[in-house]
Amino acid sequence: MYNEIKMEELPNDTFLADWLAGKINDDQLKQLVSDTDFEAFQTLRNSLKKMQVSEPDMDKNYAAVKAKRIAANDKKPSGFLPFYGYAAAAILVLFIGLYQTFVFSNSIKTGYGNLESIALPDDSRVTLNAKSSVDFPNFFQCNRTVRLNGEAYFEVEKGSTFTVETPQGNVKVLGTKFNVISRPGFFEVACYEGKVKVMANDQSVILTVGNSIRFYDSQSEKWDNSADRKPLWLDGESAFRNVPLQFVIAQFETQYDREVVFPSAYGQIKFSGSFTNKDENIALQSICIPMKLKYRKTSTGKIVISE
Amino acid sequence: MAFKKNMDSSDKENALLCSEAVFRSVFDSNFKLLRNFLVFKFKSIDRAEDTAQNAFVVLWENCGKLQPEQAASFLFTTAIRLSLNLIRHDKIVINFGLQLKPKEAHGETPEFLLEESELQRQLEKAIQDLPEKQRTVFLMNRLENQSYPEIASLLDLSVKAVEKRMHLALVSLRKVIKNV
Repeated sequence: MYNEIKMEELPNDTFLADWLAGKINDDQLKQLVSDTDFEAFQTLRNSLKKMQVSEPDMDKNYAAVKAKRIAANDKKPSGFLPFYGYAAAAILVLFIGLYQTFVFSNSIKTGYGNLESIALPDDSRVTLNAKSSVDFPNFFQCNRTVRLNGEAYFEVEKGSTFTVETPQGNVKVLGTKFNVISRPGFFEVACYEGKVKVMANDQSVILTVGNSIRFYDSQSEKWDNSADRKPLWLDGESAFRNVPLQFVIAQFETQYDREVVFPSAYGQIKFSGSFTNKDENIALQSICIPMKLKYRKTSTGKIVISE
Repeated sequence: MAFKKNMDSSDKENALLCSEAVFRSVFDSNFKLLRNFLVFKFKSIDRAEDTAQNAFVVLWENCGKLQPEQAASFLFTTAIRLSLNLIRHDKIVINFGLQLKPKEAHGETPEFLLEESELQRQLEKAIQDLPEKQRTVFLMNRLENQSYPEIASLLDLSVKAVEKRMHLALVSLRKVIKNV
């Protein structure tokens, strides 16, 4: 009986190879395996003798080698041009790629009093407040960076670092909700979910949920906004906490497309409160009554604020 | 081998391989073995011949750096390297091309011939199913009459490794006979 186990127990044994090569003869093999096995191995050896592979056509194959040699040779002299051609093409593709990745070819702008909500290619959402713009590159997934001017609320999908660049500073996050205001001389970031890293004025601050920070007049101020779940302006209300009046009025101007003249002495007075973005008169009252100021409209459409 | 005899007279000369006549003689003495090795490896004659031809093109491109007697191992090394990419593409058996030798033993009974052809069919199937390393070594020895040391030097293996593969291949093929 054929004894499979016996042979597999001795993996280092090569007696069958020795037998095939004639190093041991039939009698010696018979000592090592059963008679049935021996017969089977002999049948195998004889059957294999009758096998062969079809003959190759030597001339045809040599001709093929020659043709391939010539083809390879032809490539070489002219090979330099294609090489530079490929190199040039590769560089071009690289530059196009870099351009598409790093150049901010998409731009969304809002006018006076408009809001706009857009989905970025990675499904992050940006809501732009009035008179704001955001730019982002084509291959956004490779380079999650947007440039912001004005104010926007971000709901960032999880993923690679998401950067908001503004003239005043940068905000870096991984996935969170936050509001950024970037107006001339004024930079404010409020975090509503997760963590954000704010870099401005050569300092870097990490905001957690409910923290806000603002930078103006080369000073920074941090406060707690944990009572709010999202910026009020998303619901048509401009809210301020301890903000110099000039920025409040600038915000009013962006919402209503009005020029506002006010005594410069009041510019630095801090204003806390809010105004609606839907009704100009109510908004003006919201600003002026708590500050004990008066306002009037001129014939040219300007608004003049006075004591 | 034939080209070796040619070489003995003008041994030291470089770039000999670059002459068409020497290259052709190297081709004549090595192509069939290389091609058959690749047939055993790929189980496809078309792919084997294509790869063998490509190996000779690479040999020609390097003819200035090689002595004709280095050609054989250079060709095998090159062909194995070239086939690394190919194998991943597909492992489908296209045309193994094993066939019976034309010399027939006349006077056998039809029954015997039928049994024998059935055995051959099963054996070919079993050879195809062998692990590639065992199959190439085994058929190089059995069908191409290459000794174990010759196979070891062509494939850059130890003789012991060749012997082990031979032994294991025969153990596997034994199982076919059991059923006949």
